Amino acid sequence: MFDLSIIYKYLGSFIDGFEITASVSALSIIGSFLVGLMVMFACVSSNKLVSNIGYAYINCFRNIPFIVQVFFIFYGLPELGIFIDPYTTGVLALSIAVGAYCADVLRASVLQVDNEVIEAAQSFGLSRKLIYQKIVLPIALRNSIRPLGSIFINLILTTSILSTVTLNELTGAAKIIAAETFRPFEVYFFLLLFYCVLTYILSFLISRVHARLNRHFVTEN
Amino acid sequence: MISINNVQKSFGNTVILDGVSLTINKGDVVSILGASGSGKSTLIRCINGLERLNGGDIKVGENSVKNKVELNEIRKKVSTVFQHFNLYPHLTVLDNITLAPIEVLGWEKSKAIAKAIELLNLVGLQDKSDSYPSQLSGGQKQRIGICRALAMEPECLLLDEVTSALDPEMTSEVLDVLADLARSGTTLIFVTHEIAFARKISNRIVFLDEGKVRADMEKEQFFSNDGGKQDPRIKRFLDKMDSK
Amino acid sequence: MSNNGFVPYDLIVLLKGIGVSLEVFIISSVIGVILGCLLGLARHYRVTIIGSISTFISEFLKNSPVIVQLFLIYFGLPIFLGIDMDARQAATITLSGNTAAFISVIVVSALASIDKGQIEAARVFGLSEWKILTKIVTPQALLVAIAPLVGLAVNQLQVTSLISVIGVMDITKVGQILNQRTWQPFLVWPVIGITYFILSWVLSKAGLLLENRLKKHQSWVSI
Repeated sequence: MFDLSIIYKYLGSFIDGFEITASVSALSIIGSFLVGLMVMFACVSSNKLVSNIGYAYINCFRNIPFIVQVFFIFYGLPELGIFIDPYTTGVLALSIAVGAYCADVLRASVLQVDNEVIEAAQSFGLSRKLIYQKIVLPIALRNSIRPLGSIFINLILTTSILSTVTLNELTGAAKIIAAETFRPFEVYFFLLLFYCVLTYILSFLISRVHARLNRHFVTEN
Repeated sequence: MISINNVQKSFGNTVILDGVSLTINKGDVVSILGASGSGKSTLIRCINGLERLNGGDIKVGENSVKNKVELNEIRKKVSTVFQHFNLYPHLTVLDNITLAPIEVLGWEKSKAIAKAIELLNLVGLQDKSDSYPSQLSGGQKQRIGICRALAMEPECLLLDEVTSALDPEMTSEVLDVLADLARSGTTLIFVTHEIAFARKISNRIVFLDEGKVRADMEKEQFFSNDGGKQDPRIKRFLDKMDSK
Repeated sequence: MSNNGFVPYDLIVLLKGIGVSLEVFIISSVIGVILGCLLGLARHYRVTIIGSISTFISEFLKNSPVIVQLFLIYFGLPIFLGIDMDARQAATITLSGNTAAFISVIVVSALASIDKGQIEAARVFGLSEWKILTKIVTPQALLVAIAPLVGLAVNQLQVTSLISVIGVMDITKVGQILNQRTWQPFLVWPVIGITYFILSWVLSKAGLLLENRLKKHQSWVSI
């Protein structure tokens, strides 16, 4: 009844799907991080208008479902005469949407940097730009590794939604396999298992990176 | 050298400094004493520009804290040591000390490192140059804080309750370093609770009470029965501190 | 279809879609909360087998895409179990399980945040485990858990949009239909987006009110 041999037979298309998932994820992670940085700078700016725009961005994209954002880009851009493939649509949509989450984390980390340390730097005459560059950002980024890590892992899981706009990543490939084999239970079950294992491996790696970079910062006080 | 003129500072509706005037001369070792809330730390934070004045002015040489460009010049000449050390946690001890000289004074890296090592030798922490703040004890951190401040070769050093966060053993490590500094002729302004220490190394005592300068006199005069102790507030303060 | 524009009836369709989304959301949330609390309590009190199974399953549901979970339940389960299931049932089941998984985590961490000292004191004074749970642990744990719970609720509301993929006539599905009929994505999708935004906003404001109410009721919040 529970036939796992199909996995073996369709391994090829599964791996193809995985490649697409991996590359879309990688590009989107970079994209969303950059978007997140930009929006974070907007939020902490002393210009009221700019900072309101930043916060509005975060608020907006966190309260609209990702699939709606994807549909908007996928169906909307062609109306503007911009024809892009599902792959690019995916990277774009993910960068914009996940960028909002990244911005929120980065913003929180930056604001959490101990004010007294910043004051020390100020008292020695360091400029605002230098303080950001040498003190605030290094500390904030280091503190953001864990939360950003979990956001990025979530991003990888979210790529599955792109299967609804004809991108043949893992889930898209699985849909085809399930249709061909008439064994959706085994296919989707295995797919879930795969995502799970992937998540665990990545979580573990991120923990290691976090530990490595923070080895000098014993939790004191 | 530093002239503090009728400084007013409030936080919201609370007046912290109410017309403080002082002159600090080169070579002075001044201890600012007073009860908690009398405005001592706030005064220090006004001198290094961490707090903006609501009234009056503070001038270091020709430069006023009220002018942004001049404040930057002041910060190159006046260094601060903080109660809670405020070292940069993500940088090594060496980087902590050399950051400002390199970025603000524009020194060459080699010159800054040489100076840093010289200072570390002075305070006895030469083997900690590659350590991180989290690996140091409180007393060690504060001595590094002093090195960081001295690396700028300042005309004047501000010390804001620098031993308040330390236990007695670490306190004496730091006080020894400060005594040496005082002897060497560096201009020092202390805010402290260590009355005995203040008496030992300073040449001048300023007593702040409720945001005003209640006494500004030569050290022994302050502690004498017909000098500072004539004032009932000062007498009560000193008696209370003595019984600790 | 000859009609390419919007008609007033579309508004009714949208409202119906909102109704469906909210229905699935509310039912799956209620089941999810009950199930999640039970699982969380089982884990916290280490009720051996149930505790481990609960950990296992909730890890599974937390670390995989909801859309695949929906596919598994809607396409896979009926064939596997030989039963019939419509899309709405599958959606409700899936979201209930998914919600329960996240809630069990919040429950476990809220329970763990309660200072052990006072529980020990209560035991020593002779209070039963049940009394301790209801009179001491729960009021405090609730206060700790309310903020993450509201955040989870808003998130799960967004997640309901995925049930459109298995054919449930929710807000997103209505959007798909309107989009395919009128080909005006710049009107349809922003409206759909704003609909979800307003619902989320109302939900988080309600959550904030609840949080403040609870805090006022228990003015001893921090000792």
